[in-house]
Amino acid sequence: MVKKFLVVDDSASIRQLVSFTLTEAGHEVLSAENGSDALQKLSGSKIDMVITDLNMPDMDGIELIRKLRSMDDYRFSPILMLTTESQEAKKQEGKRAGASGWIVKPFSPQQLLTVVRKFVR
Amino acid sequence: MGTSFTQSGNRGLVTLDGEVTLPHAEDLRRALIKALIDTDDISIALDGMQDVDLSCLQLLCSAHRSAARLKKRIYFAGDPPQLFKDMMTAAGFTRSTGCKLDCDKSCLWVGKGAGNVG
Amino acid sequence: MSDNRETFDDSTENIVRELRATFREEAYELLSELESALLELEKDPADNQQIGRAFRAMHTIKGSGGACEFHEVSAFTHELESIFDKVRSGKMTASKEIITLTLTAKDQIEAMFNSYYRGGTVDPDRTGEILASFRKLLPGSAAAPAKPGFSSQPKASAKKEEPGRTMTYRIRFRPVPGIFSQGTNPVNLLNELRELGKCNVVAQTEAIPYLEDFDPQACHTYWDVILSTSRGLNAIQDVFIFVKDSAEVKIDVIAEGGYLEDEKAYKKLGEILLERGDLSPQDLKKVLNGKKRVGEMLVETGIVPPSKVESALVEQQHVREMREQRQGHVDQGSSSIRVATSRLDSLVNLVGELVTVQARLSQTALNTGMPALVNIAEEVERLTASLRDNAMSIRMLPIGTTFSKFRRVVRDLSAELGKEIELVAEGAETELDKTVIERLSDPLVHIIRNSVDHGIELPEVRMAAGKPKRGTITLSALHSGAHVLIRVQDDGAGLDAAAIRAKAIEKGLIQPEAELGESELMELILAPGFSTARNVTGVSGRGVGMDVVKRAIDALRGTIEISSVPGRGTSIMLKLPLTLAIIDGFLTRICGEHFIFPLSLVQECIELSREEALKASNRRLANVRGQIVPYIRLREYFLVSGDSPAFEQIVIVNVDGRRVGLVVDTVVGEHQTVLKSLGKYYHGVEGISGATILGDGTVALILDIPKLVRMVEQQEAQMTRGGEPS
Repeated sequence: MVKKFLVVDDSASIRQLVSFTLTEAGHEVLSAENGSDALQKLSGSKIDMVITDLNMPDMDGIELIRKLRSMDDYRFSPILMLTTESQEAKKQEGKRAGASGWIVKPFSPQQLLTVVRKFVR
Repeated sequence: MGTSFTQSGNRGLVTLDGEVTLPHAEDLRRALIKALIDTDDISIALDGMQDVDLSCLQLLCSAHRSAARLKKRIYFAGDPPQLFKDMMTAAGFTRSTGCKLDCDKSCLWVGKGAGNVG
Repeated sequence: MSDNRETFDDSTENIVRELRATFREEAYELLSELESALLELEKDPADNQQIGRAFRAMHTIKGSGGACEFHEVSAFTHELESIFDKVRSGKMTASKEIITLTLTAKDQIEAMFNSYYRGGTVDPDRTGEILASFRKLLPGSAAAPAKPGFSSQPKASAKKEEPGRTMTYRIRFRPVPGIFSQGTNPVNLLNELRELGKCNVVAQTEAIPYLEDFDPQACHTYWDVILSTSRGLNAIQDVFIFVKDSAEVKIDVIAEGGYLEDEKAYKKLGEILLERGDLSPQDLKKVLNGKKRVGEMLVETGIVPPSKVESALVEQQHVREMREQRQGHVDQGSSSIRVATSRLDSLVNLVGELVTVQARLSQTALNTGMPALVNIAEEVERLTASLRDNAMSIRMLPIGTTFSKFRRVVRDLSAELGKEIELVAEGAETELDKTVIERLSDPLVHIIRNSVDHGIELPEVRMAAGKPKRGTITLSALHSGAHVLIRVQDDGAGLDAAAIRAKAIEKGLIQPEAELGESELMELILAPGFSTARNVTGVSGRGVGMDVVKRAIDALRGTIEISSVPGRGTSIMLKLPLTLAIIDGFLTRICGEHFIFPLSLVQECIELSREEALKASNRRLANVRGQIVPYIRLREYFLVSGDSPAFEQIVIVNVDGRRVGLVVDTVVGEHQTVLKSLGKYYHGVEGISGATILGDGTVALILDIPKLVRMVEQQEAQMTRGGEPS
């Protein structure tokens, strides 16, 4: 079944990698550049999974996760954080905000799909 | 969404339509409570469901328990759809004996499902 | 006792002979694995994965070769391995020289194997020479100073390479109630566990509250899982990686691989519950004193909830099944066995016979009209069909097994010709019948040689034409219905239509004034004795050319399609059936004669009344729901005598994307068809691909629809051309 993803990252190359990988796997992907862009793009529509970076201008990933978890439509949606090796504290913060899981950059398409399969299949 | 309750005499019918998932669990809970208060013999129609998750299985289990306590009957109207059986199997709900509240051997999970596939 | 040596045989010699026979196939597979790893490595000398692959292949050749007492192989590979270990540990880079030398070494090992298996000869001096050349390439002195901890390193990696033993785990997974609002669905994790191996899941639902206290957004369930997997504890822990803080996960090993034979009885129910902490020793004692079975007592007294007893029973059952399974397997830890191809062939032959007999049984049952017999016949039919599919699937192999051979061909030839060519393989995992793969290998080598020799230009020519210096040959395979499409495409000069034409005229294949379409012209290169290469090189162009390919593909019931764009390249597409032995057929009748259509081509059947047939007798076109479909009367094509019935049937088939009707008297229905070839006599009969024997013993001809349609069209074209007033 085709699933709908939202990828949020200020780096165009990461957005592209994620979106290309998931599209190749037969899914549909929306992209957003930061938290507020993401909320605007979602605006209550159904989404199967959100994949978000943490450090972003405007609204960062942590704030986005908090906002999503407070909304009825996205309370139970899987949210994956994109972190780096050095961001352990940020990762913990993200978990507390309600993230479902994380993947450490850099990652391969295969690694991404493996993690995604934990939440969406 | 799509959960409805209809009554005729002391018999009730709870129909689960569309996506019977977490976001709609509270609706289902309310419908089941109303059915248990207003009627004694409740059948649950699952044919119209398009999606189901663990929350629905838990609720039905709870409803069955609540019914047993009140000495009321609750059962599936007909054989559940494959989608529902698959979820039962996936969530490990298939049983060969009911729980300790299941005095009249009416457990919803006994002998149903697609078998415990390895 | 015909062989004298037999009498002197001791038992070890017999064992070695058997071992070697078993190893035969693997040996060559390992060599081609090594070769393909090396060729990949050549593209990217830093590719650790390929280095590892090559190393593993050597390692296994050494180990298994040693076990089969190929001492020479083992010793040589040992040297090779220790040199290659330097590449693996990064002390040396996988330079072109190293790779070329290792490839030579691979050939030498192959020669050693050949000398036993295929009766070749080995040059023992060559072994020494190769090793000497290797030593020259070693940096500095061969003996590197031992670093602390160095000696333990290979051991550790060797342990990793050992195929994992199957262990059985008991997992209790208890998520926190709030797990849903972290976007985690516990059922997904259960499904992930199922992917690791044989898995039984029992939900523990005792804690689910009554409706009035029920929080619909909370998880009230926890799970007992029994899992047997060879993937190790880490793989299980990985499943739960994101729920470390939001679930209690307890993993215990309850059974290991490699039991003692007599250790058949698994733990008692009470023991399991004790271990799980679901039952206290005191309670167990109480229950054991009772007369009833422990499980019943526990449930009746309410000491342990039924779902926990059930979960423990599931554990017992699971372990029992695992043990039975293991006893069934002679070779532990491996999930496949090697079987001689001849045995598979005879299995498929037997299945073929069985299908024929089953068809007879079904028909006889129908004739007698006994419902009980008909039921049995139907059962047999179902079983036979799945037996057939199973037997067929055993023979399926991924086509990639032959790809590395082509890589070597390209590499060696392009070096010889001074060309730079890369071979790109796609769809290596595409499966098809082993026989088809084997018989496909030579034609493909020929096509690829042609591409290298005639297709791809010399680097300077390519550069002058504004193309990349390096040419590319793409070899791709994919499934398309009941066929496999294999394409060899190059980005070379393309076929020279004018040269083909001139050559064909010169060879007398066509008349100078003949008008040919592009594809017809291209197909001329498949004609016997055709070759356009100006110089006869050592590579191809010896005159035996594409006609050999054509014949081989014909024999496989395949087709060849050639397309070419001048300056851009050539593409050769082979379309092959998945299997050769059995097809799903569609049985029809004309008077007393039976004809079988391949079911995959049949789209629908419609009636043709005599009036309609007469009305349209000249045009032969049927109107199918507003669509005009041309049809062919098989009665006329095969010259069947007798009168046609008032209503005939048009079977509409799909030929190369077009709908064409074929008229028969009656349609009988689907029929499992075992192909029998017609023998030499009927080789020239166009439009028939074989025959089969029906349930009642009569013979039915199997139609080669595409060829038949093409034949009729050609005849018609000639007639219209000839019939035109000049």
